[in-house]
Amino acid sequence: MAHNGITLEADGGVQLQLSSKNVGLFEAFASAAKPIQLVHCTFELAKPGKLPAGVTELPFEFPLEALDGGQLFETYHGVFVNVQYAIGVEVMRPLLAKNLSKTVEFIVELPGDSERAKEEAVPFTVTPEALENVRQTSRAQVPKFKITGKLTSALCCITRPITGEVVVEECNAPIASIELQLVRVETCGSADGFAREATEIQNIQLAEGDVCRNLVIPIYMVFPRLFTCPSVAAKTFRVEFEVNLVVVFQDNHLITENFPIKLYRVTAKK
Amino acid sequence: MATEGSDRSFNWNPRSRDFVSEQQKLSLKRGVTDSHPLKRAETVQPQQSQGKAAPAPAPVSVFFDPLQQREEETDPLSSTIASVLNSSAAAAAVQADDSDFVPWKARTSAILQRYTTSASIPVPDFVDNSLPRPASTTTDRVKARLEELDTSRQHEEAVLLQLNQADYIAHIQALNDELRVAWHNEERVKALKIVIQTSKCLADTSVPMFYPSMWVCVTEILDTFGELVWERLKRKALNVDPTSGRPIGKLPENFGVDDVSDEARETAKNWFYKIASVRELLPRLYVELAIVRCTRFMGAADISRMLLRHAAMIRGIGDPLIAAFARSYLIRVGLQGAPHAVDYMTTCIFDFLFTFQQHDSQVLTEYLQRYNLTREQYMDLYSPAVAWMFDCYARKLDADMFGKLLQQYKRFCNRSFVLQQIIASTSPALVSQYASELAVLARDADEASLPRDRVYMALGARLVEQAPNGRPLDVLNEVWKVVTKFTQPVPYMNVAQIWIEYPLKHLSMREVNVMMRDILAHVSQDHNYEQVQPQLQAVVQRILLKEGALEKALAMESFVGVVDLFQKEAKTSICLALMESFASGAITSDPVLVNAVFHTARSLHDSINSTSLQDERRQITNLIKSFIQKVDYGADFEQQLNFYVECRQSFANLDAIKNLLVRQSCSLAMRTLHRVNHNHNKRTLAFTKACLAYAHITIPSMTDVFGRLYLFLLAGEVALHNQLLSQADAFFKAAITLLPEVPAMLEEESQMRFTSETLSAFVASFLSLLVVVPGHPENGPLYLIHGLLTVIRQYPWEKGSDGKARALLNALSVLAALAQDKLPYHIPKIDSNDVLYGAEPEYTKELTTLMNTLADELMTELKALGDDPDKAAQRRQASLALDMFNVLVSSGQLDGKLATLAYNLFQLSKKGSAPEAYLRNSLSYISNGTSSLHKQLHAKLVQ
Amino acid sequence: VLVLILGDLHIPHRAHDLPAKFKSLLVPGKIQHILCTGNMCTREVYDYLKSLASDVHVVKGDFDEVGSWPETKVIQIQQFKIGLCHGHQIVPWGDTEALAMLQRQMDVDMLVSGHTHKFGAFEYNNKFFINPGTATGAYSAITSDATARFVLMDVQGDAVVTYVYELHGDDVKVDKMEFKKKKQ
Repeated sequence: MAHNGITLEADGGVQLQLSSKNVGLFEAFASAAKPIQLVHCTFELAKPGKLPAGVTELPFEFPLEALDGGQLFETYHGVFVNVQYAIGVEVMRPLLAKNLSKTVEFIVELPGDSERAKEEAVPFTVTPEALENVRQTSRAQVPKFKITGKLTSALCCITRPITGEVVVEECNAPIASIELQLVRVETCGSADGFAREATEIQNIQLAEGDVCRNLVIPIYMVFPRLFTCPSVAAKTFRVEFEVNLVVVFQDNHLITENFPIKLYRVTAKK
Repeated sequence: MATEGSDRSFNWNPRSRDFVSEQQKLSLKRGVTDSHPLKRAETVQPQQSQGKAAPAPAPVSVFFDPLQQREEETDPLSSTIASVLNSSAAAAAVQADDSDFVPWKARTSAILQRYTTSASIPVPDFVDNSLPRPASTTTDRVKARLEELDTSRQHEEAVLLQLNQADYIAHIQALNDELRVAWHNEERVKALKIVIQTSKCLADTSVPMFYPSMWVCVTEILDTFGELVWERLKRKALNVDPTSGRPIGKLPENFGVDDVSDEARETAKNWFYKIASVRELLPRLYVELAIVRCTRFMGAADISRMLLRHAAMIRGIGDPLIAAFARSYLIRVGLQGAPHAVDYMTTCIFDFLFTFQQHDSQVLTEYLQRYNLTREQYMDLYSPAVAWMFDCYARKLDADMFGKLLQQYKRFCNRSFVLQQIIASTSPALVSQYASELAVLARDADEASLPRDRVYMALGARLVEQAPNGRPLDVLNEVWKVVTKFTQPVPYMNVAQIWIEYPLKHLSMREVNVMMRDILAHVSQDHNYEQVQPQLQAVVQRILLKEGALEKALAMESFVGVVDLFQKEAKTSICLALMESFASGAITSDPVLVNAVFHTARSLHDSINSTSLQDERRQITNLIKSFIQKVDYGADFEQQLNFYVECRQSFANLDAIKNLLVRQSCSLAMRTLHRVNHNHNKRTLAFTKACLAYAHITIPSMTDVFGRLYLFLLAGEVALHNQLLSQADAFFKAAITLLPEVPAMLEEESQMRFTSETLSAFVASFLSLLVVVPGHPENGPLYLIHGLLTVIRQYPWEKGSDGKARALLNALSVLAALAQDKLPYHIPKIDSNDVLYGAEPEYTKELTTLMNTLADELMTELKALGDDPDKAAQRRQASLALDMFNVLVSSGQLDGKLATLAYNLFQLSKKGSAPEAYLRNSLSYISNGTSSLHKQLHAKLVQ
Repeated sequence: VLVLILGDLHIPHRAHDLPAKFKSLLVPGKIQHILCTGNMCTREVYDYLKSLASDVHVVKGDFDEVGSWPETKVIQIQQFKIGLCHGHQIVPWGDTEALAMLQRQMDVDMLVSGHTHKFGAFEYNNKFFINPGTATGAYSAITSDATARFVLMDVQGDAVVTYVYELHGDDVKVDKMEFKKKKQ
């Protein structure tokens, strides 16, 4: 098969899309159209010539570098933030024949820290008095309880579970469920300011039913691979995470304790 | 036939034989040997006999020594290696350590039978939402994820099917099948959905009585799933040859992560990722546990750490019943994946004990009220899980850990149900080490969950097996202080029936007596004993089973008092037990003991009546027989005979007993003869006569006719040995007189059988005996033979039977022997006919005449059989002719005419198709015959 | 293979038990077959033999209580067809010719019989006849003092080595004899 050359093109960029909840419909549309290009390069894989019948393999290799001294981000598919990399290949064909092309996404993981961050426990105690979002007047209706515990660390390695413990020391109303919610917060910057969007991406039940008092219940959650990435803080966007500890009572009342966490990646030294 | 009836042309002349030299000539050479096959292995191996090619038996290798076998299996070094390397083999090895342990699979059917309900059981309909779905594009994935989050919030509203128990089990089984089908159709997501949804059922305790059964069903599905994943990963673990597509090599039994392909590792990881994102606690826990052993493919450092995490995870389960069952599932898969891990079990058990505080909660009290359950019924639901947990844990315990377990129990639980289980699961060694602590715990346990007597029963059962360290009496005192205060007879006796063995085994009969007195005091008032007959029986049985205790027990008032409390069937069965105990004991002449057992035996004997079952009759007969055999007055033969007299009076209804007594009295006579070295004095002779008189009186009172016949012969033989000729005569005459009474058919082992064969055998034996019985001075040398022949001729033989002919033929053989100068055998000090009449021509003539008469009669018999149109009669004729031929050629003088008779007999049998082999063997016999007459006959026959 | 041959124990009437010396020799697992000529006379003796070897053959003696045992029985062990009969039916008892006649009738290479309580082992027309006597030393009709005795045969193909174990006082004396079947 004759061809007029084969080229390879690598592209990478950030697409931001503002939620229509935060900005007007038009702004959302407009801002979505402003991708930030991170990577762009083209190579020639083969000069014009002929491909013999059968399978022809053309090896290639290239360094992945950000444009203009910019910064690379890890592949990430969020609701409003998308970091995506792709490789396209195009076979130029003579005359009337249509050019052939194919694009595939490739995943980028950036080298992380070389060792795990030092863990620092985050203790907590939840009592009716400590609740912020309850009005003084309705406080009497809230059951008497004391729930304590800790997160092993707020700095979490993305490939390791987040751990900790929770203890119901006392509680005079029956508990229905204790859950750990993983929430992702995407923030997009635009000319109009910043837009924040929180999405619950995973909810793990730690306890079901009226648990035994004073028994140490473990907190343990594996980060879902598709929906998490190391926390990112760029100029125009940020991806951050937090967890909520939610205690649901049998009368459907619930109390929540929020913990911001930071995800990072560890790359083992070769 | 050439001859018939009195037109006989031959004379049946016996050839002359010398029995002694015949025997000497034929006997094999015999030499003393030092080596033989039964020689002990530790001394010398048996020699290879004669250097034969075939290996001589090697007793050592054939000899199976179970102890040695066991030692090999539990070799500590190889077993640890095996356990590290191979989990399943190690699990088996662990189980082999204690035979008490019931593996999980063996428990399920009992659980399913025990926990049933008539209520309907809710089953969620299968719309699954809790799984992240694989999606092809980003947006799809996100959308799916969002939908999922939405719907999973609404899962409470999912449709519930209501099924009855049978349908429920069928439904679960169908799901199990569906799971396999889905799996084999590569529908892994569906398979996962099925296990997740089914394990959700385990959160439902709304049909309490069915929960354990439901749990068994559901975990079976989980096990199936675990197995499917495991097997698939094992297949994937092999690297594939890129050209052939076939897997390379074989996965070693004890594979590690390095033996496993990258694909298998990734797939395993994916399974765990997938399951880790399941929102609800229970399905996440159970499904992860179902495949927990697959972590081996991922090189997870240590399964036991995983198990520890799961043990902690179970703390999140609020309902203590659900949590208990989850813990037992964890231990189930834990044993499979990490047979030697212990820590996670400790966590499970300690948490389980800790959470007993929940049993006092408002929530649980309301639950019990709602379902109308007592504490005891509710705790019983825990039973399968708790028994399994403690059974498994107990096997790992050392004394230190057991002490800690008891502390945890005491601090947080303190309930009889759990204490009972702890004791029942733990080895006797540990229980006995902590005996006093456990006694205190038993006293203090809250018994709402299980009546206290059950705890004491368990404790007793263990301590009976192994005595507590130190003073066993202290523990007994500690326990009995509480037990004796029990006011209800049933719980009291429940405990007593177990604990009676404690003093029996570890203390002395003195303490047994004390306990028996306490028992008597508890049950004798207000007819209490009527409620506790089985327990009382058990108490007495245990004493009776104890070796040597019977004698002492019978001397205890308390024991006799308790025995008196039995009624009806219980009375009989206790009598039986007493007799059995006596029968298994040593030979005795102790008057108290003999008297007591005699009394018991008599009451058993008297309990037999026409309605008694055959088995019962047999059992009692056997026991009375054993009793009689166990009583031995040693040298005091007279007292022995007196005892037999008493026995005959007391056990008159049982033939078998009388049979035994006659034989014993005969043996007594023979022992006397030995004692005096075959030289009776006046006293011993009188005693021997008394023994024979005893037989003479006893035999006719029996009903069993063949029994009587043989006993008459036996008594006659004994009389001969003792030179009591007139007594012997009387016995033989009695036998001859009795013979016509033999019926044509008799019941034997509840089947009617013809007696002709048995009768023939008896007559044969009798005839052989008559060889040595001396003739009568007045009635002639052959008068007993004549008498016997007369009744044989008159006996109404079964039509078509050859019984009569055989008897006549045997008589011919006997006469041929009698005709010899020296008989084939003698009785010491008895002059038989050879000595008495051997030289007299009249005697010889009488023998010849009788032989010829018999030969004539036999010819008539042959003819009669020949005339019978029945095919069977023809066959009998042929075989009788052949028998006659054989008797003739082996004992007759084969001169001309007898040879012709032999020739004719042989032809007759050949014509009538007598057995081929017999014909052939007969021919070969005469061809080898020593005399030329034999050879001539042979030549004629083979012409 | 090892074949234990014994009979006429007459337990418990004429003897309390098998001699202890014999019992200590007879350990389970060594012997493959047991042939018992009868007159044990109780079930317990049979159970005991069963504990020594699973393959136990018994014929009925004149004083056996178990009615279901046959009068005669044929057993094949390697190249030997063995006939088993108690012997009270033999006329006269223990007579060479009478036994040989039964052997011809049963068509066997070896005939095992008892009843006389006298040991006998002879070869007649290339057939082997053996009578193990009594294992307990019980008296019989024609012997008032018998020696306790049993026989063990080591059968290898067409040859048999016979060991005779006799109790003399407290000692067990062992004799050995050999027999080989001739080709016909």
